Amino acid sequence: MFKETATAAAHETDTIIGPSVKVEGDFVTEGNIIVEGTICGTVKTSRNLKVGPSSKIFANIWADNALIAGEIQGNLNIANKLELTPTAKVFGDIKTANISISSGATLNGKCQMADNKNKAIKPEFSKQKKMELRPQANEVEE
Amino acid sequence: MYYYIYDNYLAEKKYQKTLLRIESRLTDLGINGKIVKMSVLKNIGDNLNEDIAKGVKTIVVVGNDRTLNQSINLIHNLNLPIGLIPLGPNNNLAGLMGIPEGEAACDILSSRNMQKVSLGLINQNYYFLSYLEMPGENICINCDNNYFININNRKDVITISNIYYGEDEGKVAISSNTDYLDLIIKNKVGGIFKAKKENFSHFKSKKIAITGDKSIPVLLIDEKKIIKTPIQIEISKQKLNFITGKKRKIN
Repeated sequence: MFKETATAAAHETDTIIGPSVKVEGDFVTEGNIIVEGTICGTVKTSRNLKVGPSSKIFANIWADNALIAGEIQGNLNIANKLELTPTAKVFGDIKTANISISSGATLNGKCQMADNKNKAIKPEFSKQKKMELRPQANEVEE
Repeated sequence: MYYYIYDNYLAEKKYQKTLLRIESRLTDLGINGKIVKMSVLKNIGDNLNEDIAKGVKTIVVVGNDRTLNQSINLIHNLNLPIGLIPLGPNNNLAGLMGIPEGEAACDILSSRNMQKVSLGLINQNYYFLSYLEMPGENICINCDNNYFININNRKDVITISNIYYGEDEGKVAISSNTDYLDLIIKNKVGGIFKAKKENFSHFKSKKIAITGDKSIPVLLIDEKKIIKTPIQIEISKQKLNFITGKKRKIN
């Protein structure tokens, strides 16, 4: 890697799919992805995904964090934070730990916040004993 | 024993004085050896490999990027240390390797600071150190047998890089000397009245297969090659033991 010329920002992005490019198949990487073009198939990354406003993705997506400004037809599995900008269009189910939806974004699908730590607590009614409300026999005699 | 391969353009008069100075410096450092001159008419490959088998310990290429690329394709035993004395134009790789031009390169050779350098391999038979370029007209690129990219635009320029010294893209980290090839697709959109805008795509892949309906002209270090499709490009398991300077820009 170039020691002198590479900037910190450049180090962060591994894959850029430009507007003129159409990718088909299973796109699996361990780096950050910026999508400006079209993808059909599957997108998997252990890091961040940024989908530009002119892009179209016909794929199921797995990523750590995602910023969506384009159109996605498929399910989104985001481990941490998902952000939908006003131009975003999502046709599919979402599973994420943290979500931010801007006014104007389109979301057609189920949304599941899949953080296991913050599960809703179920009251345990079945294990409770019934309260005795009648006065005891000894107390009445007195 | 040191073995020196001279490019044929070094026969020009303007390089003679520098060559004499280099040879005298090599003798002073005690690393002089046999000199073989490349020629358009003569294939030095067979003689070179015979000599290497007789006990050559280090091969030194004197010339430019093209000389280096030709030499690594001539040498059968690439486990030997390879050095470079850059002389003349088109010496971009020398800059990345931290080797100064001319006489000063002799000191780098004598210090023997080794670095493993990855090699690209085209169709299992042709090595390349830097990068190759080709037009993107009616071709399909398959990366790692996982996904493919269809390119139909004549204006698209495809670059497949092992060590990159082209224009700095800034947008992305184009790696050098890793186990991955960098695939860059560039095209310029715009016209006379519209501002020109460059579309840029970048992928990382270990194995790239290119298919198309006809042969593809490939540009490799100012050298145009017509290669029949399908073309298979990958990172070779063989790595070069390259003698580099301390100021090298690749790891």
